Amino acid sequence: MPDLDTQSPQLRVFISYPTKDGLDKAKQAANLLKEARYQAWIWYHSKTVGALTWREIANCIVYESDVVLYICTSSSQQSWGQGQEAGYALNHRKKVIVVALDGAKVPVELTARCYEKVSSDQFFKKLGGITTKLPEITNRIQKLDDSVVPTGIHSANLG
Amino acid sequence: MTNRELSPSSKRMQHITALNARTANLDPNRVRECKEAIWNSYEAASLVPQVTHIVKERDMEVTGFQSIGLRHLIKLAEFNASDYYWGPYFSDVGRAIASGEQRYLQERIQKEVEPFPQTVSRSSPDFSFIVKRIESLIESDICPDTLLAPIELFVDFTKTLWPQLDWNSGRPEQLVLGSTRLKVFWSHIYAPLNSFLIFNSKAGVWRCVPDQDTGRLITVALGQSGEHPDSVEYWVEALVKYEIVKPQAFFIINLSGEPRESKTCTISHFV
Repeated sequence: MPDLDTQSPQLRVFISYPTKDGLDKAKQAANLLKEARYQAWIWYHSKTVGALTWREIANCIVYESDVVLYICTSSSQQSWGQGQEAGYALNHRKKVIVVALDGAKVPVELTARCYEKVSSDQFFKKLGGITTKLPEITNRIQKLDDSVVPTGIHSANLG
Repeated sequence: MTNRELSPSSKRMQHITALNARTANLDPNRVRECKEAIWNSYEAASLVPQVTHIVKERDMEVTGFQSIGLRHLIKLAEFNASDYYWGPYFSDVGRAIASGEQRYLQERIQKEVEPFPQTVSRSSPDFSFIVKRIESLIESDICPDTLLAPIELFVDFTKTLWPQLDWNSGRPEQLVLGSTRLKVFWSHIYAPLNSFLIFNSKAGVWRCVPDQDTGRLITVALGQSGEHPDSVEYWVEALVKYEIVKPQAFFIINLSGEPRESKTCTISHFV
């Protein structure tokens, strides 16, 4: 279990959003996180000109983020890109905090990670609260460390 | 009959039943939420229903079944504590079982099917060769509908074959060649792959022993540990056996060359 004292004071947050209707909220989130002196990666601002988009995003999620903030809107379910980002995060057991806007349906694989459901006009205020407590919240999220290797049933479980 | 004399399957069922019954000291809402997190994440992540023909077996004494599972203890006080978020943990557990299944499936196919002599170079991959092989399978009435692909070539593959990939068909994306569509599933660190596996999903049978209570493809048991009363034990398991019934419907193309260094951006990209 992670110790709060050993958490980096500068948590690195990857912000995942659907391009269609999530960019404004993602920008707000990035600004809030920066004001709180966290590092925020948002593709719109942080992309490297000429870099291969998905290589850069994958590397950022896998190697350079402590937590993924998943902004869920009504178009998230249909967003292939955001689904891909969620896949990278989940496949690498990253801590994911889902904030769902205006009753947006959270993808099934993320329902257990839904931290807050808010209306658009409450987003800024709620995210401010999350930002203030981000190390605590991140620390309380339990995470599996084991991997699963197929084994013979008798020796594995019934010995 | 004593416990020592029980068959492995009876002993297993006895343990699972007893575990699920010992929940008096556990927060019932948390037990329900944790089980739902496992089921939801497993079902969202599992390839099995999409890439195999599933047959549910009642008799786990049949040889060759594999256990793909996790069984652990958690401190009871921490499990019940209101300031702990266990949903993500148990969601990881469900996904881990699905990853284990993917890994087992890939390994079974690689063990049973001889790879094609020609390979795809990691440094300068030529995907036209893969397309040609798929087209030849189609001409042979094999009708491939599944492509398991190594994630390390994701960027090159999607860049090269972008016009032939349908991103709007739901998840996963599909490779479209004429009237044939192949669902594309990518490997990851818990289900690594150094080959492209192309096959027809109906050419293999996924035999599994379902949960005795729910009938689901995975067994989920969670309760206070009998041996360690200060702990919660969970047991999540898929008992499976994959059998290839039509080997000619499978095709493997290995990668060649050294794996690439995948880390290409640095912390300076953060704002």
